Amino acid sequence: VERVTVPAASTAAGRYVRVADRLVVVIVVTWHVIYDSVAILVNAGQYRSLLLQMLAWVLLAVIAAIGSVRLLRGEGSATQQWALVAAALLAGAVSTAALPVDQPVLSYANWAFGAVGWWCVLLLMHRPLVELGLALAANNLVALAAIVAAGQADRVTLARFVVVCFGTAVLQVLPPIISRLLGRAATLVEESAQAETRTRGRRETAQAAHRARELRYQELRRSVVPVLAGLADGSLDPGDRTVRDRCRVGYARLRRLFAESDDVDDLLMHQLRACADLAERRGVLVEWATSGKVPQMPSGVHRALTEAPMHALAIAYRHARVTVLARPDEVAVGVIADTSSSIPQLSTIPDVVVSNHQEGEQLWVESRWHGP
Amino acid sequence: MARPVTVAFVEDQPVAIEGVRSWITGDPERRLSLVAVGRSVSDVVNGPGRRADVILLDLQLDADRRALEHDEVSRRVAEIETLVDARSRVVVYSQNSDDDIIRAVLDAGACAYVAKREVSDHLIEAILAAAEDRPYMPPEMTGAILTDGKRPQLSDQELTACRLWFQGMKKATVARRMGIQESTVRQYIERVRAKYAKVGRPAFTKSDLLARAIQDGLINPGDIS
Repeated sequence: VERVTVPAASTAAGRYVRVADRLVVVIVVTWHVIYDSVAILVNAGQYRSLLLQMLAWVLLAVIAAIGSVRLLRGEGSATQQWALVAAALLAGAVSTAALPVDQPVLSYANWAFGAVGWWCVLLLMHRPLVELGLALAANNLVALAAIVAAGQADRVTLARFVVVCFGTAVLQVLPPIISRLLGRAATLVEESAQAETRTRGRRETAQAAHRARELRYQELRRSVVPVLAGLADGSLDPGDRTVRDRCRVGYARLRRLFAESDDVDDLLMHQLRACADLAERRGVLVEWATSGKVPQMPSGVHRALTEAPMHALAIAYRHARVTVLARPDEVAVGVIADTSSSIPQLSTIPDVVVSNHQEGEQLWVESRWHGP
Repeated sequence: MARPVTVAFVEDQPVAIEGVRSWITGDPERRLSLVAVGRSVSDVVNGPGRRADVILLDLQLDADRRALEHDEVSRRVAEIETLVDARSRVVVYSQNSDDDIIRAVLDAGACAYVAKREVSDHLIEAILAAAEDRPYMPPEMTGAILTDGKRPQLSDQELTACRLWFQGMKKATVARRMGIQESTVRQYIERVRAKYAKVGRPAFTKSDLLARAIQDGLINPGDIS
């Protein structure tokens, strides 16, 4: 039978289980140092052999030390634990064999009977409960054999023996059962806490996505809808160059919006290509120069970086040069375009700096992101 | 008038040969003279190109292949190293402008890297500069140096000048934008090229470039320690 899985020390369940382990160690050590020693001292003059009692006491002390260290370290292969259980049972048998001749087997002098039961708990704390039951039964058999051998097997003694066995067994199976129950409860609590965190995370992501979407639609309502409305009701003249510029920027904005939801490796280049593609369709010759690898950037930076280049590409006449210069903590997107239109004042985010420079028919815009 | 700088040209595409020849002969000051053309490096250096001041090399010699394959690049870089070690000044031009390829070519000791679309604006200047061990950086090469993790520490002004130059501004515009003289802009860009010469494999072209830069007062000997 495999060892019962012990929860990792880092979890709440693991911490509870380890508290129970320490409790068992404290019980065994205290029991041995106080109860067993006093029992031997008080009955010292009456034992068949005091030397054998002391030998059994020392053997159990050694087993307790080894068993405690192994339990606290979380070690315990089946064979090694059972070898220690066998040694403890042997120590119990030695002590029982050297009990006072004229006293009942189940008396104060028989300290080993109760002790060995606790040793079994210490050694089999994380073994299946059936194994602990078997070990306790073996310990009881040792006592029963002594009762029979001493000729004390009358009805009253046997009844008392059954009551004592039952009483101690109930106490001794409690620590492993409580440890398992605590561990299971803590695991459940932890799992439900994690599930709640996950749900909260998903809700926040969904809310953020929703806010971002709302923001984009507001932006479209501000920039694209008025142009369409103006064209429809005739208040805007398609012959006017500024109206055509606004149409082109609005068109580019829509294209960029569609490109945003695409799942691509390099979102920045993807969005820039979407903007450049529109310019190329108007016959603008777009030249590219990129250097460096675009790093991971916080959400929102891509949009802020493409805003000014998008405008510049939308109003270019015949030629545009798009450049991306990327270092791990800095990305600069530049566009040089021939146009006599100028780009409007653009709102941006704190980490992105937008600059522009116009000389005659040449417009230069640059947006630069600086990482933390 | 000083004698023209002699150029040996390694190229296998007739159209490209004619194009470069017309750029060279079209220079009103006739500062360059094409003395040899060959389809491979050995064709050129075993002929009259042996004593040319500068070797102009197309990185992509097999015209059938559209993409520059990895082993072709390594082969070409090894050829550049051999040429440089035999004290030739090499200017590379190519269709490709991949950062890693540009850096490998410069590491091998090439004086300059000119992308094919930069030929009309920068090829003659790059060859003239190479002949005199002066630094010259076309924009694509500037980008590859700026984003090289091994590049030396640069001042904010040098970085700004190079960034705007890479983005396609004329040097005069960079100067107006930065509020400085055009000659200062040129100095910043050339200084970056000179400082980059101390990166990587040692080569005589790099030490000559550094020596000339110190002699011209472009950089201080302390800058390259």
